[in-house]
Amino acid sequence: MNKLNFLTVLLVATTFFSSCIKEDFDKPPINIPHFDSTGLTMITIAELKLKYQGAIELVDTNYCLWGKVIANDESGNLYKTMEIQDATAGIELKLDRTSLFNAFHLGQRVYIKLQGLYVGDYNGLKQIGYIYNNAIGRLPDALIDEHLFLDSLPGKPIQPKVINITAIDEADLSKLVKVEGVSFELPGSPWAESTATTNRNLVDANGVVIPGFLVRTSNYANFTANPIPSGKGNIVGILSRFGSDWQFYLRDINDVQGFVIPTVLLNSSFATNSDGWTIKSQASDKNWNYSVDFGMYITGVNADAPCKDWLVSPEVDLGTAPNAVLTFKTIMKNTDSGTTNPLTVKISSSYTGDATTTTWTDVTASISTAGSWTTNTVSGFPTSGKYRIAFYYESSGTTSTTATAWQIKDVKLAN
Amino acid sequence: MIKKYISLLFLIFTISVYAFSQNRISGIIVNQENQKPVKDAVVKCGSLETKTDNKGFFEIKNLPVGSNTIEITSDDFETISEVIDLKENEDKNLGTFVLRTKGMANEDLEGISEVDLDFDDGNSGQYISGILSSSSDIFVSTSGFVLSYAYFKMRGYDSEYSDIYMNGILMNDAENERASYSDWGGLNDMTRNKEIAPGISSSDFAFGNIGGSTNIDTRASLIRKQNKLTYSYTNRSYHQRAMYTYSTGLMKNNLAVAINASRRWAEEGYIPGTFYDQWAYSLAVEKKFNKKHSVAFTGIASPSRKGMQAASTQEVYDLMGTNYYNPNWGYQNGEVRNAKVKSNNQPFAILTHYFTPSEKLNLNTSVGYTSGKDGYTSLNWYNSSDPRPDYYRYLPSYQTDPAIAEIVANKFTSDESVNQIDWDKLYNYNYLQSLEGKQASYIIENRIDEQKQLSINSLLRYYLNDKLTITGGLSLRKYKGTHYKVIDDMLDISGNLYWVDVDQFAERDFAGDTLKNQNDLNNPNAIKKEGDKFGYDYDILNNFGQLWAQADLNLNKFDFYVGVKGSITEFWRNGNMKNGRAPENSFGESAKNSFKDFGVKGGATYKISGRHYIVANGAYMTAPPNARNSYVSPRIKADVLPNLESEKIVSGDINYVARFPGFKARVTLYQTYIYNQMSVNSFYHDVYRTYINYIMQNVDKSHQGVEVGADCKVTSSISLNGVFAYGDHRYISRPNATLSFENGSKPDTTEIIYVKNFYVTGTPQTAGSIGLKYMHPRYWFLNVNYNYFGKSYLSFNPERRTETATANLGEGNPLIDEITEPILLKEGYTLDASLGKSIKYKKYYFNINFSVSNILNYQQLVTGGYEQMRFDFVNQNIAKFPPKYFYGRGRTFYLNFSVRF
Repeated sequence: MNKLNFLTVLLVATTFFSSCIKEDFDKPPINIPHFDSTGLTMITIAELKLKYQGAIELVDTNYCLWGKVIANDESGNLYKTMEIQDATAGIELKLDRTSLFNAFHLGQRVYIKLQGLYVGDYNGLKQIGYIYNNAIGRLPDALIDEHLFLDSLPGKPIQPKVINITAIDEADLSKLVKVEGVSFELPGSPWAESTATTNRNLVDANGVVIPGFLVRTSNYANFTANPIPSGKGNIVGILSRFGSDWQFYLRDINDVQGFVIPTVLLNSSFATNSDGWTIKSQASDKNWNYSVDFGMYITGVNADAPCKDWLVSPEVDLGTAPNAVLTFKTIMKNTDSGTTNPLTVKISSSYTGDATTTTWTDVTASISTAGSWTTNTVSGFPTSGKYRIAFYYESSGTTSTTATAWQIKDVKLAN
Repeated sequence: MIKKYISLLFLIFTISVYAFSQNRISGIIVNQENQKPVKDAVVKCGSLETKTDNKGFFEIKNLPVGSNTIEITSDDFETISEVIDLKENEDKNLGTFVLRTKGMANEDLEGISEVDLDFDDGNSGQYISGILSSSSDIFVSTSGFVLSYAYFKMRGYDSEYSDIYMNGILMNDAENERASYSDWGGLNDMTRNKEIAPGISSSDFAFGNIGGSTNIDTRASLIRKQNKLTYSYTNRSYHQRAMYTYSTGLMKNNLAVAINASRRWAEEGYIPGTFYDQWAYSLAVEKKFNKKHSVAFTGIASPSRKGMQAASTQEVYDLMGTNYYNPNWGYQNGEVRNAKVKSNNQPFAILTHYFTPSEKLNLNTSVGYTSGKDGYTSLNWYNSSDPRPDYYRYLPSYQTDPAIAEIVANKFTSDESVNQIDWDKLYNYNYLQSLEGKQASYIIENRIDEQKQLSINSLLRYYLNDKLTITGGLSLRKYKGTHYKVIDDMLDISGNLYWVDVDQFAERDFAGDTLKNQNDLNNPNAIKKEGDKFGYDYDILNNFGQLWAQADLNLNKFDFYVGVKGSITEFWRNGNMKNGRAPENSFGESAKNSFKDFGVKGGATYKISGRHYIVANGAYMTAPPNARNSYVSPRIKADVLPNLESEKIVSGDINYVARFPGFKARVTLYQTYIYNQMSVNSFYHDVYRTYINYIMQNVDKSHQGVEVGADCKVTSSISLNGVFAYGDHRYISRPNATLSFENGSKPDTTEIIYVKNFYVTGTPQTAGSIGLKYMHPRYWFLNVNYNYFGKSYLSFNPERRTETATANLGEGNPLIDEITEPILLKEGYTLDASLGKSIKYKKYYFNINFSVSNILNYQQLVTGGYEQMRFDFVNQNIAKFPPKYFYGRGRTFYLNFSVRF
């Protein structure tokens, strides 16, 4: 009996081990792609641009070109768009796929079988894509792998060409370029407003805006909220065009070089709460209020008396801040016929805990009266010390013609 | 103990009458399965007749001297008879008679027992009521078996309302209150002995719950002496099963030992890409010290790894031409790999002391300890395209141009690197990242739940007199569950890849904020490698204590019982990470939430005659909210829902029971109200682009309906049976929903969900089965069942039943109905059959069984699924995120072979 038991156990054990479930997988080999262009007619990007000058044209010959990826969508500043460049020129590809950079890294050599694709003009910019509403559009995702082919692993990235923005050569369009020694008009502002792609101006040595040249950044870029640097530096990116304007796209924040990077001293988004700001009403029954949808807001309409209302920041240590810049977004509604500056910015280094008994100093600010979110930039702050910043709201009456309404969010003090 | 077995053949002896005298016989009758007393068994000796009392005790006086035949009959047990010799004035103690459940008489040559089948296939994670199939009640056993195909839930209750005990220790999870059958899966012989208390009733082992309670008894001396090998071959979730059972029974040295071990496995189960690998081993030892003391130990482990199935949309099923398409797998180096692997290893041990100080008193005390780990793997990706092949943007329906849609459809149907996960591509993308020194784009993460639990349970049963029995118990439990995820596979060829522990959804919504995006501020921007914890890491702690008592009164015409329970529960969270979205309330121990709960129950049986009974039961109880539902974002922070309260349950049923020799039937009407329920859903929201926890509170439900079960013996070898359930299970309130955004982009918000009078989902509310059983005298048998499933509603998305979902649609706009109406699923029919043969050769018992489920190969029955938890608020287009379905399996077979010696 004991022998038999032993045998049965052995039998069971043998059965158990006779089949094992595969879970230890081989790693796939490194895939080094290779494209064979035999039978195709190779042309350069410059030749392609020369051949297809119309608004939209189908490529019906077996042309093939290659270029290296100079910009992709990794940072989110480009969307469903990629730029390639060969020795002759660069061109923009419109592709209906996200996360293109997964496969198309910078320096990747890409062959494009052009037959069946479209070349078109989008407000002065040549693009390769597909037809959409009789204009140039994106190549459908399902067709991308039939036209774009990788060749070898990503190689050395192409170096940017230094250009002079006062004398731009059209041949440099869609190439990787570098602009040296530039300053921004609104240092401290974010690269893009949170709701839309935003253009930022460069200024010359005299602080005068350089016309017709825009640094354009998507609000989906991963550096969108970073403050624009002050001082002078270099920028690398893709030269593009929309109508008569030259547009310049950064690939990521590493394309901004040699600037002083601002330190953020105060950052109150009012996205989920009032971020520690204090309210104080000096006159009227209306107060600054907080809501998720509005940020901090106030209106003197229907108040019991004309308003005097304070919104005071937490203490900010300016440390050594030779050039602090305050940015904040506002919406203003109504006009106040009795007051020219219904909202003012003040600072104090001797806050008493009560805004009405504190001695405040005005900071010169021209605050936008627009009815949609607009960024305001204010400078002229002391260079050191601990301060509170206040928004002071006044109304001359209690009706919609004598009291304004305000919303404030994204208050940022940066140096 | 004198054990007296006599087989089903019973002999009638002539009673020789010599003389009457002052003699007496007495004895005790117990149930073979659990050694518990059998009450109301009829003991007959000539013209004298008596019934056993609540202790199973009987006595008969004034019998004739000489040879007498006594016959013991009871409704649920095989009749036994025995010849005894009586002398004049003899007081003879006949000892203990052991009765065996009817239908088990041929156990030596057993047919397939339902629990042999693969109930815990665990593929869909749904509740499976298979454990009930061993009940003696025809309705309960049928619904637990054949109706489980469509996940029929008795009376529409969730599994948290069914309590599973093992040797008195509650096995339901302390956090979500559901029992995980997989923890003892594959140990059929070890867990065969069960006591079942269906619904509210008088129970020998617990206060009970509305969905019934089951106590699995692994006491070694009760496991039948055997040496058994089982092998099964099937095409269900596993393909092969091998099992070994060895049991000594109670040996002469008063020791009993039982061993049960098995493996179930498949390289690919019924659903493509699902592998199955479950081992199980168990040991039960009992030492009987004397008549009063016995100590038993049980140790069980059932480690498993299973490749999982995911639901997909009908569009994808139609494209692929099968309702069993599984998006979870793809080829890696030419081999099938599943991205979602569920692993389970929750070993446990129970030590029990059986104490019988007198025949009137039992006191059983168990101590249980478990410590184990469950995991669930999943793809995760950083700033990259969704790797799941059936992501809605990759489907033809996402295209607006029909020509492009056709190209997409052709590619999807023809290319396996498109319609399944393309592992080689993911490796390649990761490799390209490594060349630039960047973090991995794609990883496999493993979401781990570790559990540790110590339980103590004492159960006392006291037979006050022959009419009144008192039962009661004390339970104490200390639990700690730890939840975190680790990087399971970096999908790395280079060996250089890493992962930065930030929340990419917070990173995007709080661009530039270097604190909010942190998962652990104590360890910001941590570089993680394979095996490292990341994302979240927190403990849920739970202490629980309960006292309960029950009194049973057995009279001639009536039985009564009343029961009461009281419990204290406390739970809290301990965060092991300081989350950037909740720096103040994520790290360290949170405040405790405690709840006091109570319950009362009662019932009566009116015995109209030995053939007709009326039974009524009722209960009121409260139950604490479970920790899983109570935290708004447990992975992030310790915030609990506002107004946390216990739920309240009112339940009652009234039954008519008929018991004729060839006919048994039960008809039940029931009504249950559950107030103040909570439920939680966690999912990735495509519009807000973050994980969202969606918690519903103040959910009130009404469950009412009829159950009918009947079993009729047509001839000695043919019987017909039928069950039918009609339910009306509904929501009767408008719940409040709380939305919590894990990336903190919006504050937690609440809204009202308009689902009053919606049907409860996740089960057919109407179901039935007609069965035929044929038992050939030479141990052939055949069972055929035809089953019906209907009135099943698809699990709904609460967000579609809000004011905002239908905002701006004018009254009478047909879109309103389209958005808010619940989806009634198609009804379905299945046909099952099973054929078996038992052979005895010398001391070997062979048993062969072949069963086929869904013979008609019906593949259109939706047995699970859900409306997607996102809604196109902009265009109010329900087709944008269509529902996802699971379909019931087509034809499957199960071949079972066992030999016992």
